[in-house]
Amino acid sequence: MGLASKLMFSGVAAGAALAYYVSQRHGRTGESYVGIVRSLPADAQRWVTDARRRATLALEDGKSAARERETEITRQLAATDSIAAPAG
Amino acid sequence: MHSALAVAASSTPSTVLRYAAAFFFVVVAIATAYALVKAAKALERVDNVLADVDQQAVPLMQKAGTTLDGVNANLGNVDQITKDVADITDKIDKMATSVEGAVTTPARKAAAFSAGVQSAFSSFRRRDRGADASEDPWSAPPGADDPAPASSAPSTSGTAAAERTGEAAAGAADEAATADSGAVDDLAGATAVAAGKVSDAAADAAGSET
Repeated sequence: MGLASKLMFSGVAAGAALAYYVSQRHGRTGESYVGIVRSLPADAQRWVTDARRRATLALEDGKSAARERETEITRQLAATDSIAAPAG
Repeated sequence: MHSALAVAASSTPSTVLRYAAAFFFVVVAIATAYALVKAAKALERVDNVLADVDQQAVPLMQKAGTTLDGVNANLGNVDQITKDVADITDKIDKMATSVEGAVTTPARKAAAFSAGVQSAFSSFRRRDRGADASEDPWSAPPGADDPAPASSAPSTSGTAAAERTGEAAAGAADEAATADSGAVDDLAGATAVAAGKVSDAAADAAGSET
């Protein structure tokens, strides 16, 4: 597959995805097709910013949950050792 | 006659006593002889028993000594086995400790990592749904980037209102994001607050345009 074919295939796929998105959004909000296409870069930028912000918060949540889980497992192991030690 | 009788009468008690003493001594002599015969027989039997014991005790003692030597040897073997078992137990203990240290730490890290990934993914998805509930992240706020429709020309007041609306929505989304991640009720409350701020900003924008 040559470069032109790749570009053509990628363009067709991107166009199909764009058309699907525009039609779905038009059906959901009733905006015009041109307006949707024009607002697409700003929407994408907004979505990227929001996703980055949510990813940062989710990362913090994940770190906190991981620390809590590790502390819990450590506590459980210590409790198990303290229970098994007198028996041994 | 009378005198003879008197002599006889006066000498009779002593004669009787003499005969009685003689009889008593004879009886005592017979009993003593019988006892001595019995004692001789008993001593003879004791002598025979001692002779038998003397003959059989030495081999018994030798056998007992041999048995004790064997028991001591077996006890030595048991002692060695006990030491070996103790060594094996120590080695198993060390090996178990090493295995536990080699397995527990990565397992704990893996469990913590999986819990963190799960929490992060669920938090990301929950905030995604919260953002979808408040606003569509792909849809611009009214009049933000969309050029003004043909009916109304673009105005600076509309742009400012849109910016205020966007800021209010972002602030509300931040509130929703910083709310308690585990409580759906809090998330719904923050979403309601966000919707209220959006509506307030829209009302301000409409008022400024008029």
